[in-house]
Amino acid sequence: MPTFATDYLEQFAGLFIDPTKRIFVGYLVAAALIGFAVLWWRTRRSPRSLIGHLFRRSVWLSGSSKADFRLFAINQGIMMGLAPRLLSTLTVATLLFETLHVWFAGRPAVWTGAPVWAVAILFTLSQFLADDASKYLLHRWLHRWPVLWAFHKVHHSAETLTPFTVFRTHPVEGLLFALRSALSQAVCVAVFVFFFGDRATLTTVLGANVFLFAFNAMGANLRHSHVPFSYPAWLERVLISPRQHQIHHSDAVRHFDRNFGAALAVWDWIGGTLHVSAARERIRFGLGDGAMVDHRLRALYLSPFAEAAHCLRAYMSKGWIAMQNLVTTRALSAFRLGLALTAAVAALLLLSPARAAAEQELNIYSHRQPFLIEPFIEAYTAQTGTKINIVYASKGLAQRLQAEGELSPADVILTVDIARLSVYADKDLLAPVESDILAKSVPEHLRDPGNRWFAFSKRARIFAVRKGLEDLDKLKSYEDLASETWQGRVCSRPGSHVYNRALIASMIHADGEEAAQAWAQGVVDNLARRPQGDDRAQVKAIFEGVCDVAIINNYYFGKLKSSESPEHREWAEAAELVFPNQDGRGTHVNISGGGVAIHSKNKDEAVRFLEFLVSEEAQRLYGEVNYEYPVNPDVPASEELQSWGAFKEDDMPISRIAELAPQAQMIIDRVGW
Amino acid sequence: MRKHVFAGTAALTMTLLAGSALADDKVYAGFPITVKGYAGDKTTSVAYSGQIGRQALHDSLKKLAGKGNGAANEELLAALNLYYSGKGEGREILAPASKGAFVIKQTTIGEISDTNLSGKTYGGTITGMPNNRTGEELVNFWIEKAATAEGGADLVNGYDYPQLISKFIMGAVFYNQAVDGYLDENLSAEKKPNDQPYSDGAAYTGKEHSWDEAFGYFGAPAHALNLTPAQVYDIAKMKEEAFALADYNKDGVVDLKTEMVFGPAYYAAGADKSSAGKENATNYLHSIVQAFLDGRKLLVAANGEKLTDAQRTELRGYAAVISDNWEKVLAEAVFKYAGSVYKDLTKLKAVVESGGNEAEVLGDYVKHWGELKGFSLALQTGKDNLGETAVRLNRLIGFGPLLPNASQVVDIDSDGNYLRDQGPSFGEYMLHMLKVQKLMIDSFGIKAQDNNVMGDMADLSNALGGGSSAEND
Repeated sequence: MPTFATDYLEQFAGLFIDPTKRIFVGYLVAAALIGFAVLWWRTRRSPRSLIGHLFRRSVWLSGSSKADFRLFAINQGIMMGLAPRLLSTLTVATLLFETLHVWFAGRPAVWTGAPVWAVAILFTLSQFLADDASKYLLHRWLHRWPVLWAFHKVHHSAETLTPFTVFRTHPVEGLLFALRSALSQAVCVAVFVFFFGDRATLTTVLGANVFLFAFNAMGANLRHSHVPFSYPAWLERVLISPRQHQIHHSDAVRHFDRNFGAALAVWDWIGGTLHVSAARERIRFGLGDGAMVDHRLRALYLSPFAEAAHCLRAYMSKGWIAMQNLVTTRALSAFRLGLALTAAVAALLLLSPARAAAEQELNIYSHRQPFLIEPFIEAYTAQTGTKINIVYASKGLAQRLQAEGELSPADVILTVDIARLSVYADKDLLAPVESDILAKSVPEHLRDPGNRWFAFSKRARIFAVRKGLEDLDKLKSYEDLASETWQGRVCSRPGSHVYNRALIASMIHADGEEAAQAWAQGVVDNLARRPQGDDRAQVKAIFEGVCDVAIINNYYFGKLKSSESPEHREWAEAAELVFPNQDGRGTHVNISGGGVAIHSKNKDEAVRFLEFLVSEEAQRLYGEVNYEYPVNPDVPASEELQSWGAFKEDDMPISRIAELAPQAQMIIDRVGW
Repeated sequence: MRKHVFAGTAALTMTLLAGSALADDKVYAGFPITVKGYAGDKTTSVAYSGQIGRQALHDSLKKLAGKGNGAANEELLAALNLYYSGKGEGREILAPASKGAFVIKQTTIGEISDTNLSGKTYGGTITGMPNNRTGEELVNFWIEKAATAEGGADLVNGYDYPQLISKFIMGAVFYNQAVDGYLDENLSAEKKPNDQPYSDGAAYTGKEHSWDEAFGYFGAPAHALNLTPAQVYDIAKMKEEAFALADYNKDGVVDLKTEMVFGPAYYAAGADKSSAGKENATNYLHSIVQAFLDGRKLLVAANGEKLTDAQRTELRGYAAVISDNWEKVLAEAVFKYAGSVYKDLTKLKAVVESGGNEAEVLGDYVKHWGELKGFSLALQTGKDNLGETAVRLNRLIGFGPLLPNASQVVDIDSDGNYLRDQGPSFGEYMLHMLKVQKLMIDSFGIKAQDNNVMGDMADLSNALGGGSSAEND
């Protein structure tokens, strides 16, 4: 049964036999040999005297070094306890790996012809560089930010240096280093596995990164020693010599904040913090603030906290923003923080819409996004006092309704697209509704012959075209889009999307199946790129010069035009609109609509809500909220919509679109849209 | 009488070969009759031919489901129905059938047992496909589709019916019947007591036969403990060199009733084989068969008496080992095929983007997706409601695969037509597959993890080592 003590001893001993660790016995021996050689070269003293000098008591058993050993022993225990709770490389790498799939819309295979060794070297080098660069950066912050310096000072308070001074670290700093290591490793691992798969491997010597091995084997341990081992000046601009790191530990003001780098000096060179060593320059190690260093554990572990708190208080008195104030001062009191959190949760619960009130309620299942629905809900609730609960989902609501059966709490179904609406009718999920208001306000061709569903708004499927197109006069109808004029100039989302399928269904209705297929083939032949993205992406493609014409729903243009994002407004700015077939049958329209759920317990209220949606107030909202056209003939389109130009709509029975959808899908599959 | 001879021969052979009776102890066969007052001529109480009959029906149905020519085919539909829900004469065993030197003893279903699959298919609703169909309704729906699909596959909508039907039945019949019926309800004190024959005049007690039937559904040969997972795998593949391994009684033929490997055992062996000798090695096949054997020996020791509470508790312990491992086997299969689908998507995306020939990749992709979907639905037919895990699994996989033209089946109308819509991007759907793999690890703790997409990353992270000691520079 392993105990903490045996675990501890095992891990402690492991540090000396693990070549990925700085104090691996091989590196220590290498450092001793190099140290010996360097000293011999400089002094030509006898071997015996040199060994005595290397391991002299005044260094190895000084108060400072004894503190190093104690910190080393205690920190090892602390880190063992913390390690399982730290953010792991794999966790971060997994998250990043997943995100890369979204950024690259899949997983491209890169440099497939590369030999495995080349990828391995590339990965190993990248990992070494990322690790070293992140060490430089964190080290720099530890010196530049007073709160962090309070902890890093513990390391710099060493007055004698031995290879074990590398462990003279405050645990808070240890945590920061562990986090840095996880992040830098994760970036490399995720990026390389994503692009190279199992070809990404680490080139190792004795299990350690080959570059890290080289760095350590070349006497890295001498950086914490009194052996003045420097490199030629040119090399010290590339690699940090042990002497340069000793300069970093110097108590002389001219050496402060110099040579942050671990292995490479280039980071210091770039960051303007490089200090090349000068011959025979004497250095004393320590903080250089004139104060006596307290090497007792209590001081080393606790005083950084007091100093950090002092720094924070100083910041706050200089007027930090309220948020940081809250975080820092309140964090000091776990009790008060807990109290505040409890209060916040309680307040949320009290305000939560889930708290049912006694008033009339209506449950809506909506495919329409919440921000499109909410203005209607607010207006309806203000008018009637009815409380409305919404279940929003982009997919699967019909299945959910089916599964719930008679127990379903749904009263109203709201969705977009006639095909989706007719799925509800097909599965017998909608109740027939008798309402004079609905019958009068929704034209016959925009409602179910069996009165199970009704359209509430119309959206036109139109062309967005590049502004100032010379041959615009050749684009009067959908049919024109298949002509050779537009070869390589058309963009569209995939054909199977309900909006495109509905358009093709309308073509079948107008011109017959054969002609519709020929037309669809013509459009596909004219595509500038593989069908992809949504309607917004097509306008963007026009802006980017990928194509001249795109098929979009009209409201996307409005959304882009009034977007808060300047980028979106630029896209809209690049395009203008064409309403096709104005001289013939009119532009194809699709609808948003809804109906009453078959098992609704509040059918009267549900019908009242549908009636509200065709009222003048709500019909205007459709235009204002989402640039959609009203279905109620008594209500004019919004001013913005009118400014885009008058349009004549194709008034084929909208239910026919749903009936023709399977044929339209077959055409899509055949022509590969 | 035949069984008597077989058991005797087997015992004698093994005694002679191994020089002790130990090896025989490892075979699921020859258990004595313990029913009080049994008057028939049987000499052993082991019987699970109905289950083996269904294994053979399943294998045959799968084979037949791939025979469509792309047009309406009433004859094929009738044949498929015969193997799924029919009974009686005329049902030749289409698989596993003799192949070269690998000779199968039986050639018709009737020689094993006159049974069917439909009557034993999971009766709950399958929420992972539209329209709340029961397990049986779903198989019937797929059978109708298979009858008109060329080679059993509909590449337009993305379905490989032989795979869907087969993998789903492995759950909805075999796994469900075993873990939700025989190894669960039938282990209660009231149902199928051990001091009564299973049915009037039977040679086995209620509990003995329940246990044997569950064993039959697992589909392992009686001598599975004498075989390595790799050997069991080879027997299922009917490799010539595996014939001798399968023919335990050395009569020159492989008896489907006792010597053959079927679906669930094959997948258990597959996971064990792929992970053998590694840190993450699994032992599903032998754990399950050993638990069956231990439970059966307990029943022999009960000697036809009512089980005590302590005995039933012990028996439930063995049942739990079987159920848990079996569930893991299905989860491992979901994991493996999510990995295959992921890899196929990588290829498919490259082909689509370069305007290459999709057909080459599409067939494999649709096949792997069918295996993934079938197993994911099978996993949901156990004794426990998987709750959130099931919801996530179904949403991640969807009702159909993402197709090259960016569409995906989102519903099925009341006439059985598929309704499609624009699906997620390739990247998003690949991400779904990663999440399916993660879900299988998190929810079921599976270890073999064949086709692990994230495996390279874990290996690489380990190679870099941790930064858990407080070092400074």
